[in-house]
Amino acid sequence: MDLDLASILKGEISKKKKELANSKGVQPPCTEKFQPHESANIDETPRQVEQESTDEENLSDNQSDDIRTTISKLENRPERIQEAIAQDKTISVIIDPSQIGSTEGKPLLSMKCNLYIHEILSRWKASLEAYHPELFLDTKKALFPLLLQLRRNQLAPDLLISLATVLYHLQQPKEINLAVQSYMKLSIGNVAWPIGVTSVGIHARSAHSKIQGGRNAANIMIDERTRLWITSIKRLITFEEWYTSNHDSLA
Amino acid sequence: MAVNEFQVESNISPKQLNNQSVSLVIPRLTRDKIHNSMYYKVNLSNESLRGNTMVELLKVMIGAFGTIKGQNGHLHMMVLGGIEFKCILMKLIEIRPNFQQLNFLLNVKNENGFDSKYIIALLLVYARLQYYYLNGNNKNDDDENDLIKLFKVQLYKYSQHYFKLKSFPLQVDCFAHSYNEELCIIHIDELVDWLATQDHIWGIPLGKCQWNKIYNSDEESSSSESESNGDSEDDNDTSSES
Repeated sequence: MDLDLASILKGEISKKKKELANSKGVQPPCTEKFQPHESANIDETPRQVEQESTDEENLSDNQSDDIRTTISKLENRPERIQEAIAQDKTISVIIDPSQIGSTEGKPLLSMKCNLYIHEILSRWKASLEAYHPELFLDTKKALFPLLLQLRRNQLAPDLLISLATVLYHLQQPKEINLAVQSYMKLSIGNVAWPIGVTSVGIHARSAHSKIQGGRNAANIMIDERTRLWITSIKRLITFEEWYTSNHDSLA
Repeated sequence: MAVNEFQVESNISPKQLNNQSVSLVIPRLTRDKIHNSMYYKVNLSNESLRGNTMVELLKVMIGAFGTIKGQNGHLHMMVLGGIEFKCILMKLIEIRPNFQQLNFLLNVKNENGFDSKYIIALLLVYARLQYYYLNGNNKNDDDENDLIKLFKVQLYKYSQHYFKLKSFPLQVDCFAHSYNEELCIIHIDELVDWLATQDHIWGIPLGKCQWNKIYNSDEESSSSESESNGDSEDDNDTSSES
């Protein structure tokens, strides 16, 4: 096996050399070949030494700065947590539809979404015995990246608008259907979904480029983390529907 | 997942490792995107390769990632973390080379101006992805111990090297929606450090690993000892070839 791979390796290397030589066309003379090599060798050594020295200095400075910042952050952590809890209590959870599209109210809207998701999760935790206890932990784990982005106000604007619309319809009485429709727009939107036969021949087709284009992907197709929290939002919608019906029946 | 829900995946590799298909180490969405990309269909499907073994894939790897000193060509392919890189990585996972093939490719000699640095980077990422579950507890499994020794030697070896590689930033996923096309130059030790410490690379999650701990003092001494063993193995290979 090694001999076969070695012979194949040598053959492919020589083949690639020929291809590169043919692509260049006219080959330069031998004297011109030697001169750039010598200059490159002379120039490379001091640059490497300089790079190593600068890298070492930067590493030491960065390490000390990182250590100091982490120490200060750890010391101030309880105070910052208390401040965050106090701020969370002052913010109301009700989402104003006029704030959904505005850029000025984006941080407040982000925090409202965060707190409302926490509220739904607390309700689910309270009624854990009656409604799908096996899904609760997975849902919390999947929602953690979303809650972190909402708290830091780092979620993309289009995702925040769609998410706020879903949560707004959840807050209104008897608008579960609108919430589900908003969820469909959040997850899939108007993008063509890649279904059906996708590997017919080797030629590119116009419809295929629409489906497989990188910038035309639906939100649920962005990456694994986003897909997980979007499906967890659907779980929250379903729980809210169950909770509302049970709450009305009990009342 | 619902009880009555089922799905058929025609792209799962038939080879198994650790009692599951080898292609399942990459998440579903990433796997679909790789399989649906044009480069994979044209160059890496079984019909295009005219086979499904390492012999056919080696030709594609050398054509895409092998470099010849003094001659520059196919520059758009020699990028770590791009679509071509991920496609070849996916095909490597599906084919699952054995120990002899891995040992040969990781110890390729750079003769006649040939440089295999991109292939080595590809194989290091492959080893970290595919064999994350290995541990040295099972003393009876010699194959597993050989793999651990090989991977540790290579990781420690290339953590001391400084050659440059063109790459996407290691935290960037080239399939992501908000992805901006920017390239950077990284050194091989930065890649090794990332593989040893982080839990994802170019949008692909990395499993929890026990054999990539190369920064402890005990591990360094054992790695250096195994490195000497690796050198002796190389000498044996040369003698067998001659």
